[in-house]
Amino acid sequence: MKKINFNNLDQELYYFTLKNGLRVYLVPFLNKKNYYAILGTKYGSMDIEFLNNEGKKVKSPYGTAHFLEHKMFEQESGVDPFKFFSKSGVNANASTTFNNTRYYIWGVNKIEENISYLLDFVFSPYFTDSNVQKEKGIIKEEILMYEDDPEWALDDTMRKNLFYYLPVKEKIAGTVESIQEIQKEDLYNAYNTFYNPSNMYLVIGGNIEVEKLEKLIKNHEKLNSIKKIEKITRKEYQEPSDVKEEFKELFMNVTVPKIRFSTKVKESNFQDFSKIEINMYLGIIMSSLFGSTSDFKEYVTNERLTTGFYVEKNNFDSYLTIDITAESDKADILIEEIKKNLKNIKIKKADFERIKKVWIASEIRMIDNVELTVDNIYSDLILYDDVYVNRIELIKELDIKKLNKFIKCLDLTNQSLVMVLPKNK
Amino acid sequence: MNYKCIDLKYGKLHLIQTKKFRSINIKILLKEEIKKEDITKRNFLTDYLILTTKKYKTKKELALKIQELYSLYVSSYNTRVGSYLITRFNLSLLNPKYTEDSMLEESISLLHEIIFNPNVKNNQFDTKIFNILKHDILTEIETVKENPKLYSMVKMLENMDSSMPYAYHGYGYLEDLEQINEKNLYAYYKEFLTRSLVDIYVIGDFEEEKMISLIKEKLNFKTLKKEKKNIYITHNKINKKIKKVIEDSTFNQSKLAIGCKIKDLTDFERKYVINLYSMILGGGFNSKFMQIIREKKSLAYYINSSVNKADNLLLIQSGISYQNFEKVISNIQKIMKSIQKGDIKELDLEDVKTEYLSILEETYDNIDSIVENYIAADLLDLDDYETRKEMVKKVNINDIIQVSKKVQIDTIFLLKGDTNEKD
Repeated sequence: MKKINFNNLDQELYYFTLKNGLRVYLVPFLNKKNYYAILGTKYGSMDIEFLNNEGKKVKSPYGTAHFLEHKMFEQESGVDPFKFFSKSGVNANASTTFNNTRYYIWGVNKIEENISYLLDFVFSPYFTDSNVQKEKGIIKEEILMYEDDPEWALDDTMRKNLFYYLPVKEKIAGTVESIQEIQKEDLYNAYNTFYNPSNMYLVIGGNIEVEKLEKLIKNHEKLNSIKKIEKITRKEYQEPSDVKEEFKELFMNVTVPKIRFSTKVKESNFQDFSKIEINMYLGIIMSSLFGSTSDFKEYVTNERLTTGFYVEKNNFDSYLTIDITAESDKADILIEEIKKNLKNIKIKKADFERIKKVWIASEIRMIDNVELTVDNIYSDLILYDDVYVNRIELIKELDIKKLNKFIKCLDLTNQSLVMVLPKNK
Repeated sequence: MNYKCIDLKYGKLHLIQTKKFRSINIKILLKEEIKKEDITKRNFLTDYLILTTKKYKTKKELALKIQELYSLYVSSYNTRVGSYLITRFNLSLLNPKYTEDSMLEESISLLHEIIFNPNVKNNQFDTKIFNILKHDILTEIETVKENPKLYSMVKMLENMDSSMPYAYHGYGYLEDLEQINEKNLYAYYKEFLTRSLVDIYVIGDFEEEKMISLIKEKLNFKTLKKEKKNIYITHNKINKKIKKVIEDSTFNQSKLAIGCKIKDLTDFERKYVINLYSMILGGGFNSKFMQIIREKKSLAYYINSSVNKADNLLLIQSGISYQNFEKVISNIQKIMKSIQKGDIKELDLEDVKTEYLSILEETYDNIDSIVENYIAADLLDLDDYETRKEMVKKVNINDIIQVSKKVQIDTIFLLKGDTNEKD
């Protein structure tokens, strides 16, 4: 087990790798009562086509990863994992995104017993024809709930606009139709390939004793009985740089139109930048162009061009997207302003330094919170396959010359627009 | 942790000393009895104050100042608790240990600027900013219909009794918004500052003397102390026959909102038993609602219950398919009756007690939840942390059964989904 210091803030991070490839990260907090643990696999809704554990090419119905996540909570032993954890007042949940599925627990009691059970249940699949069938009704209601939400509709439609082949173009949960196709064999194919410890991470933080947990994890029978898969083969997609559709409109229950404006950016455009640098510099640019202190924000507010305006950055495989969401009854003018703002980007030194200061402050605050710290470590692992414990130093090292070089490589011309308009008009 | 309450001329200062966190948080609560016609004005006012001040005229200028102070968190919002309307101003700063010594005073000065030094000229608020904000608030009120979960709950409460504070729209009213102008809002501001009861909470690692003198200097409210009114709402009547209302919509999924009235709780029941009862009923994955209606019958993805103590209401929410409406209702009623008849296991009660205690302990890991605990205890006259830990253990099955008989379904509202929905 190795140890490193977190941002020089009297906070330690311990880590080790099991023989079967599971990578484990432990963050002991000195003054907390609670703990939070995530066990996750690099398997999400986009992992549709792959070679299964017998080397056979398989294709799963859309929504399989999310369906599988639901079904992990049904165990052959008859024990309900939620019930098990709640006996000691511990909560559990799970979530599926495009590129990962995570199972997480949080609470204050019986950490060893609960971590041990987390490993037990996630490594004990039990899929039958009848329990798969039963889940379809529940997931159908879940999908219908999301379909009523205009923000989800913007998300789902935009990804369909942006991507030709990358399966992120499909909904995470699939559709009411596609989930009907899911059979237990689909779940086992995916499970036996992607729920291998070599494709997974375990991150635990909070009120923990690292030596005890290390021993528990290294001696966990079920976990350590699983053999490492040397290589997982996913289908590779030749995704073009441009967007598939530039525009789409939808009609829903909204009063004020909602828009999503996105640009698709290829990571390989930035040859001299590491993945984390790409994300950080792009973050600086977005803050400075669209943040609360930007000229753009002041202008659109004063002209009443929008309410509820926000910007996000997303990573999809080797692509990044900048996603702008807004409510606006003057959408045409707003979009022109956004497009104008994305041209001839110039960042002032003072703005650059101020954003760095804000980021450093938020790193210090983050370490007060067990959940956030654990979440960030896990997100780093999924995105970078590594943990950046020296974030504050990295922020300080960001350099305006390098930023200008980055801006030269930045191509924001692959744009798409989705509008949600009122149904009745 | 060390708690101290100091009497100020205008209210109370609550100091909570702890070395557990890297930030210092300050919360100011201004409360008075709620009046329906005040809600929209108050929302407008608190938004205005945090958007512009005399010194920092535009949102951008204020945002720049906030970032210069190592990214302060500043917010304001209004909530209703029972018969009170409560306005909060929140400030969170990094402990000056990690930044610069002057940051404490500068941050509190900014809070002073926001509350006491609004952007006013000729006895009225700034017209340009006023109009921008009015447009935002108008949009906010109009878009409530887009949120079927919230909308169905609001409609259910209105159908229960539209004259009661629990039926008031927290987001405000269009007809009230029309009446507000730059002049009368400023007049309302001056009134508001003098008639609210004030509580200030400070938590973190700080020098007590310095903090007290800064607060006295910078946050000098002029309110005269007033009598506390009863915050709890009680019900005069409960519908004998359940009121059922169905409204059409074009959403895919139907949204169900059920309001149950709670009557005549003892002090012990109010503080402890009702929470545990709601947890057993619909508090999470292991609740009876989720186990039976979701897991056994596949009728819903979510169904939960929650208690609103100050309103004496228990609220149930779910998203369902319209054709399952009657089935879901009869299952809910069956489950509630079965508890009244004693169908509840010792183990279920033990589980929710453990969960309750666990949640209670966890609140002490989060700076905000610690303060919220103190605030809730003060507002609702609840016990302190240590007492709660001991008392909740005393709840037994019979207590749950007795409480379950004091909870009655009064109103059911269904926002009906499009019946052409997919199967």
